[in-house]
Amino acid sequence: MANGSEPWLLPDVESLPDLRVEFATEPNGEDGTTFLPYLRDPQTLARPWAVPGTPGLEHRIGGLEKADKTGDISYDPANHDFMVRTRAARIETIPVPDIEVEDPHGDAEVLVLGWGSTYGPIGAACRGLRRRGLSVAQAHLRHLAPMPANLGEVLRRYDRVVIPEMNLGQLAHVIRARYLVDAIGYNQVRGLPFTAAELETMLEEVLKNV
Amino acid sequence: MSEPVALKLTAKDFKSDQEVRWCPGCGDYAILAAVQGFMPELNIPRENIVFVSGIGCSSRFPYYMNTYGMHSIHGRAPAIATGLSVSRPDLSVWVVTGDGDALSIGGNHLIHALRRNVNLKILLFNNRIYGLTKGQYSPTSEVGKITKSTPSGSADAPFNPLSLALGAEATFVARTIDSDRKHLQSVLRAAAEHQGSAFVEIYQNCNIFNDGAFDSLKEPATRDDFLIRLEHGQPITFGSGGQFCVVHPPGGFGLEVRPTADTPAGEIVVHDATVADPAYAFALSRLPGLDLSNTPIGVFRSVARPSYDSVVQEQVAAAKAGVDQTPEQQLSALLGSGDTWTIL
Ligand SMILES: Cc1ncc(C[n+]2csc(CCOP(=O)(O)OP(=O)(O)O)c2C)c(N)n1
Ligand code: SF4
Ligand SMILES: [Mg+2]
Repeated sequence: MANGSEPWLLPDVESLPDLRVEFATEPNGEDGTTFLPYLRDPQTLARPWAVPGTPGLEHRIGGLEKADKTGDISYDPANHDFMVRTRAARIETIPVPDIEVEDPHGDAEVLVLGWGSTYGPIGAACRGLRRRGLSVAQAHLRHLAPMPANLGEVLRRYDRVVIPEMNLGQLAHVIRARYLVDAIGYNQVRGLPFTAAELETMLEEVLKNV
Repeated sequence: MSEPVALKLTAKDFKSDQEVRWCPGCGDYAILAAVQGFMPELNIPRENIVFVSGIGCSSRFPYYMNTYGMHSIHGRAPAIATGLSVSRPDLSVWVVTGDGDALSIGGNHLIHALRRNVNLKILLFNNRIYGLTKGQYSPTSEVGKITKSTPSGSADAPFNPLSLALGAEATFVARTIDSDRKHLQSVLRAAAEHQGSAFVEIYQNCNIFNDGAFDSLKEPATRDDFLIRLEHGQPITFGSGGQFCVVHPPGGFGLEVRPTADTPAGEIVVHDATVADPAYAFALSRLPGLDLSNTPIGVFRSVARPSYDSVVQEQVAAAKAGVDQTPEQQLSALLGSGDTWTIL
């Protein structure tokens, strides 16, 4: 590891987003005196954070299910169902950019979908095929939860979707389950990266059979 | 400095409005009442007190305290509390944990918090069983104990939590009992005054899955003969008529119990919690027999050593002093240090 290196673009510190959190300092209940640690921001569904040391906002957080708004321990089944859905919805509100597809010929019928460290060999394989006049599209996921909003529509544009993964199909299973797309998995778990050549050979077979 | 203003808090101020859900008769109730009753003595505003726990029956404790609280990750309360304590010296941070939480999954977090002497007050409720998960043996269960997970009896040699804490060089180590409110509160008082990690083992009855585990230390008929009540500066004698005493036998490594009548007064060990070498407190921790005879309670060890918090805070203060750049400038300088180049 100590010998690995990769160029990394130094960010301009001034342009980094301000990630400071505004902590709760006042009661937020309608009565003006109660603090509701599980009252949520209507846009982001995030809860207010009151940090220790803030007078009047003492409360407890932790793994037991809490009642909506009050944060009281709750054993109520309907509340639990509501809270599980609310937490899932909160993740779904996280803004994620749309996935972009690279298809320079514009007429590809096969999409190669990747994630993580397979980006390099997938890209090299696609460029190799295109140099030989074949059309293939590539898209690479940066966000898995939530998925980009346009992903379903992108997947359905292609006759075949191929998902090369260095595992037994973790992404492919999710894609098939969530988008009902008959994705083709290509899976190797040798502890070595894919080579561009093996992906090119595999993709050529897929292209032949579209 | 001006005198601190008396806050005039009462035990009631420390009771949260949550329904307490331990089994009727559980020793945790008595500990909760004792802690709530003791808290006003701290004279610290409620908002500056934080209880952090892991997972277990005992770890539900923070929900019932009207302070800030975190029912956190199994075994990881010391890690979370370390972050809080180091970054917020203005807070009084208490960890509540069980024998399973602290000594099974959390064993490493515990010993490293103690080794570092983080400014935490750690209360380990030892009922010698996993209560929450319904009665499996724990790292403090006795050899041969039959439980749901040891149908033929436990084959494990248990931890002695105090020996473990002393081996980790904890600076404050004490033991007390759920049912003895006065003693429990006296130990909490001493723990609260300590700078650095204070480790307190509380023998706690789980009347559902390990009932009567400490009965010999509680029953009027036996307790005086079984318990050694440690008092700093006092000769260690015990028994209903003071008939036993603790001596350091010549040539031996540890401490031994002898009949007081046969022992010259000068040979009786005078308890000194401030002995620098943890070997003395360790020897005390080894006195109890398997039947809990010769069980010392009270403060075994209380020595001064800089807390991790204070050292880190000094380092941060020193790093900040003499810097005239903005944080943004400093970050830019850090990112731009070393081997950087421009690609055109
Ligand atoms: C990661 C993880 N492992 C295991 C468990 C199951 N579990 C819950 S509480 C517990 C042990 C509790 O024992 P103890 O700390 O003695 O607490 P008590 O209930 O006796 O007060 C275990 C093993 C869990 N909740 N999470
Ligand atoms: S199971 Fe035991 S430790 Fe847990 S609440 Fe019941 S009596 Fe207390
Ligand atoms: Mg336990």
